[in-house]
Amino acid sequence: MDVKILGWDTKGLRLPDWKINLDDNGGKKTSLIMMPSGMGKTTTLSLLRYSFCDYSKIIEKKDILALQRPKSKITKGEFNLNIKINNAKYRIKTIFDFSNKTLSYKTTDPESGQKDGLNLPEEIKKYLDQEYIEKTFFDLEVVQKLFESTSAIDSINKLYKLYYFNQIGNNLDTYLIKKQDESGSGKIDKKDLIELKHTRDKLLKKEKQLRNEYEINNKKFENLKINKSKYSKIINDIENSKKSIKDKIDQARENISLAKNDLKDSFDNFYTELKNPMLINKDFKKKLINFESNLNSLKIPESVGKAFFDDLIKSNQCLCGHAMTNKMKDKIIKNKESILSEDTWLILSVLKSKIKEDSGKEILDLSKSLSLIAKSKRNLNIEERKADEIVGGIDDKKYQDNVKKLNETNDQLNDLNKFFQKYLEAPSKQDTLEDNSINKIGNLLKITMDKINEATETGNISDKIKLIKDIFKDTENKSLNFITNDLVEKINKEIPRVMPFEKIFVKDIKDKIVLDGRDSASAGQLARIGYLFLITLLARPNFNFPFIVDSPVTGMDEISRSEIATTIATQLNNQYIGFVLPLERDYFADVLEENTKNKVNLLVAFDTFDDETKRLVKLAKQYSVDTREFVDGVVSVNNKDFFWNFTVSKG
Amino acid sequence: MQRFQYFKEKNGDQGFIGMSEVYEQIKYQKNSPTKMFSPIEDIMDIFYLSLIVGIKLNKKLDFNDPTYIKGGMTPNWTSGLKNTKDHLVALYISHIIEEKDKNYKNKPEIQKILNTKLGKDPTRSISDDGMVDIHSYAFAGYIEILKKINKKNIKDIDLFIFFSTINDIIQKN
Repeated sequence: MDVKILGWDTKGLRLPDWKINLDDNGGKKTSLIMMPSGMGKTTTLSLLRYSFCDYSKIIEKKDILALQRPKSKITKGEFNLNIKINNAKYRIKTIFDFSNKTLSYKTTDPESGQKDGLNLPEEIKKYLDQEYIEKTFFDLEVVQKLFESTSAIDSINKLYKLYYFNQIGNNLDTYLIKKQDESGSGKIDKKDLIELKHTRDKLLKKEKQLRNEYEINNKKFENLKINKSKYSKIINDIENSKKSIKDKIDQARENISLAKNDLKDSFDNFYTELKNPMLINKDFKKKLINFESNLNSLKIPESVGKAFFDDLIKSNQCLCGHAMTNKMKDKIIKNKESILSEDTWLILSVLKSKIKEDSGKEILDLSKSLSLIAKSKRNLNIEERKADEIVGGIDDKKYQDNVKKLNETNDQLNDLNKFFQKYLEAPSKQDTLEDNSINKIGNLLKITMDKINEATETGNISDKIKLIKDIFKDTENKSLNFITNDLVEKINKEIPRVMPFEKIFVKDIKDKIVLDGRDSASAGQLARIGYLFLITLLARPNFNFPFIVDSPVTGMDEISRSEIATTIATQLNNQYIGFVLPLERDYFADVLEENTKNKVNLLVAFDTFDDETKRLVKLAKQYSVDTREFVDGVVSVNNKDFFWNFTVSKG
Repeated sequence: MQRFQYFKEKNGDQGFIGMSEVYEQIKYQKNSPTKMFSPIEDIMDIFYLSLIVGIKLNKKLDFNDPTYIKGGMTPNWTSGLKNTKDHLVALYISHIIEEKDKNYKNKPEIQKILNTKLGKDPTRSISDDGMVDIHSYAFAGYIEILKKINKKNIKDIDLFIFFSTINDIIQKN
């Protein structure tokens, strides 16, 4: 099964109404589409994703509205994709209704013509799901995630469909519940059984809700981490570019940091003082000293405790030698209620010794500590104002925006960390349904299920299901182990070629890709390993599907660019489409050309929505590009001179 | 009582600000520009401060009043209050004794109070009966703190205002 993209055209979207054709002649399987920043690379990538997998039920409304042309009254837009599947041509029309915020499809195939819906041949549907599409049409962030989160192992799980084991396990659990519900109350009261089942259902609901929340929060967390590093990098770059004020900023930050430490210390100090009830108020101190001394005067606690009287009641004669009568026993029982128990005796001794320890200490001056807080707050305000004046002087909206975004991201990360902490808390005896720990809820569920199994005599079925699930788990682990070992072996085989100067091998794929003998590597090195991972992971012997990458070599050095280009040209059998910025052209496009014997489509596309693009139109005209073909955009196909001389900067 | 309880809501009082809301507003948050200085790390800290205020003002309310909605907290004193617990329990028990026998005259009665109010578990040091008592003081103390802060909107409360209010109450004779 061979799938190839031939081109696409757009109408009524935030992109220009243009047509992109990828020349298929002579077996060209590689295309580079160069677009200036902000002119639709990511949007086109999303549109391509929507065309291969039915997003009509999963797309978010905001994602539909993001495709609408700003300030436009057009209510419908469309993206038409032309593809070839085993030499048969298909056209997929994706229609965006901006009024109703919906997405729909029409497919034209060689046999039945145009029909509603996304109707791709059944043979390729089994491969194409959202996960597969998002891995094959990706940007560099996906590669970065492979080394930072559970993304690598998640990808293997989803693409090899290992999660089926878990799904079957869940079905078995549902079967057990059905059996429990069908059985009579057996050993316990019917009302108690109903109560237990009610608890079970609530726990199952809670467990599901927690797992969903965890999955959503985990994704959020990974994205936030990537955003955080993006914002930090932009902030650092801007600060470093303005060296004259960098020192002032560093000094101001140092002062703020010191003032913050002071303020934190003064709050901590105040609360530490407040946490000594004996020394915060003279009445409290007097009360406690009175307590200790009065108990001493009263000889409380006494050396003889309740247990002594319990023993005395059991004996035949009193200490004085008289025979113990029932009347005497009754009297002792009554009076011993006012004698301290051993437990009270023990606690009281501790309380008294603590009071004695602090009785000689002075009362703390809380008001002084409070005024120190106020002073530290003032100092911090002054230092922050000074820093604001310096930073404000930068007059850079981008800088300010990113500082704001970074702060917001940090807050969100912090909240998520707390969620994860709670989520993983260990079970204890006091757990309730209100707990948000998956372990606690899982433990409560197990206890409840065991009780129901015993009552409904379904323990036998439960044991069998457990055995089957254990076998599944074992099979899943072994499969995962086999797949990861195979991937690691294949990746490492290619390492000497893609990293000729410094070889970095992959040790394992646990949750993320683990490097051999080092914690990390440069962005370019990681990207090269990431590409190898994805190419190896997505390779299917009977399924040749396009590989589309947004900004494939952004921020990489010359060696990394060249080696990635070589990998694409020599190792990738699939069609490759790269959306590149002009900055990514050198050491990438030329190496691709060289290694494919010039079988690369080189395209340039830009919109002409505003006046600032007039310069680009003028440049295109100089290289004989037809700038009138489309109303609001220019597309140049295989005009090599223009591709190599296209520049966005005014210089 | 299995766990310490916090004062969550008051039926029929829409404007009531619960302990958890105050806690969320002033608790430590590493990356919050205003909350990063906070030493408040657990909702039990709010409970503790409310309790000393309740004892100081000798205010108590009926813990079992059904209009008071409660939420569960920790089963034991938190690690942050590890060094506070013994003084606090002693303060509470001495307060109870003085309420009944100001001059410590009646030894059997005092021993009975100690037996009833102190717990068997040395980690908590307080009985179920004593737990109800300290909650009655803490909830009443919390209401006094809110009255004194006199803010209708939770957003108007910050850590400094909260601590200043506690300090004012504690220092006042």
